[in-house]
Amino acid sequence: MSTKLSFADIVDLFATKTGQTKKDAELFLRELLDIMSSKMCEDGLLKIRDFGTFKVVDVESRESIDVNTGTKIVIASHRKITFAADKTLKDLVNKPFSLFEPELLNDGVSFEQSALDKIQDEELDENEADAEQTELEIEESQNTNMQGRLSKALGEMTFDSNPIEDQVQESHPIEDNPKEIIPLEDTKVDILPSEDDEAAPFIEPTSDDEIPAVANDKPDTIDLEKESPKDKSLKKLWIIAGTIFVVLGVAAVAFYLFNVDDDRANKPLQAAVAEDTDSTSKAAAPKPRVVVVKQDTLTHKTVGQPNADSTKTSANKIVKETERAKPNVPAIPKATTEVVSEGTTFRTLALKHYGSKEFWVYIYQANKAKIPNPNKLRYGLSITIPDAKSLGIDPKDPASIKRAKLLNDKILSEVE
Amino acid sequence: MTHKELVAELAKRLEQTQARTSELLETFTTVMNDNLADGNSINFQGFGLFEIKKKMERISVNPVTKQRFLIPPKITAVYRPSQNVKDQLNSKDNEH
Repeated sequence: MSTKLSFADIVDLFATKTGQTKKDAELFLRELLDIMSSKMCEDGLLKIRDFGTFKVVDVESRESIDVNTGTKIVIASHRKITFAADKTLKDLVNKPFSLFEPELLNDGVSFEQSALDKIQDEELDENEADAEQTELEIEESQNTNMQGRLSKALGEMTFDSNPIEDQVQESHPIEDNPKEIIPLEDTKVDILPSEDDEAAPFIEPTSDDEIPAVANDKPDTIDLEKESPKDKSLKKLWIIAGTIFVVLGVAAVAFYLFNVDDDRANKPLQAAVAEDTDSTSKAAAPKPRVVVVKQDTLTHKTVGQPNADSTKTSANKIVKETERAKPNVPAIPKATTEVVSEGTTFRTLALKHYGSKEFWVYIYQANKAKIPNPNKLRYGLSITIPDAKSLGIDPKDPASIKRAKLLNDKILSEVE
Repeated sequence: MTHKELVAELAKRLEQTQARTSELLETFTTVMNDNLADGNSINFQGFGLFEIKKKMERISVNPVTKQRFLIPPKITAVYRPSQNVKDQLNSKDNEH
């Protein structure tokens, strides 16, 4: 790849390409370079189409320090040549990185803390070295933000948790427990809207499983548990939170079982579940511990709650379903599918199928069900690519691209 | 000197038609571009070195809106003039 070519090599290549003799080719190139260097110096400007522009710039004299002796020296004013590559050359050379775009950084995102930065970098190197690094970094920082909010929310919740804990240990009547727990859960839902949003795409089309959502929530909470101080009350709180998740999961399973005959359910569900095996397996580790600690209370609760919960979730789903109905309409006709391979992003898919990377939003919308986060695309996932005509998009139409960009901003801000 | 002038001058010196010269020049640029795109560096003795450089990502701030942007990494083509060309420039400088 990166070999050093000399004048002779270029002469060879040039001669074969033009069908000239080497002698002619060499003569041509010699004359060309001669004219280039002399005219560059005389005129101060030289343009070559599709290659670039050479410009002569004046550099003012400045003071500097001799690094060897430490004495002050003056660098005399001189002229230097700058080379600005033409757009054609720029694009050609930058092709491997052409999918990157400047990214607006939100407040609070800081790359200054070197320790955190290092960890992030290591993780990134391990995972996908050449993948969309920038987006991931931003996403990571968002996660930390979210965790910050979570811990705040937890601080508020500690008050609630203690009484429940007491009640549970004294094994009060079962009827009391669900009442206590439901409001608690509600507050949690209110406090963490963003997390819910993230989970939402999962729930919508499958229409009857809460498991992925629960699983999604878990890794975060586990991280927090590790990070947070050994505060005992906090630990208890986490146990409670864990039980709530388990209850939710059971409720979701129950709800699912009631609705198996729903025809749309099977396929997307499987995809979603398969996709989430990672996170569930992560979540599985701490779960048993929770169960051991308070097995009896857990069973009480699971008995008491499913009905209430399933009605709640179903209500949620109806709302989400109606929301979802609009954007998904154009996705059906003449769609092609593609399995995500390593290094594939939405933007590369869009570039391949639609001719512009900006149109990735439409692919995301068509596959929202399978993808909890548009910044993360799992390998091996089969993606539906809607027909370009049905979407009414055209890579040559600036208005169309503008619409896609607007949509892009909207989706990304939703994810945040 | 524009592309056209360069072609004209080159055609005059080589005693070829401008169309033919333009064609050859185009081929030359494609050869150069393709090699640079492949990551090769090209050294012309007495003229300079063309190579590609990777620029790291950086954070830039819009001075008006104070918005911070993460500018993605990119690969650019750079030209390093040879001492010969530098001297030529310098001598011009001295004449001024």
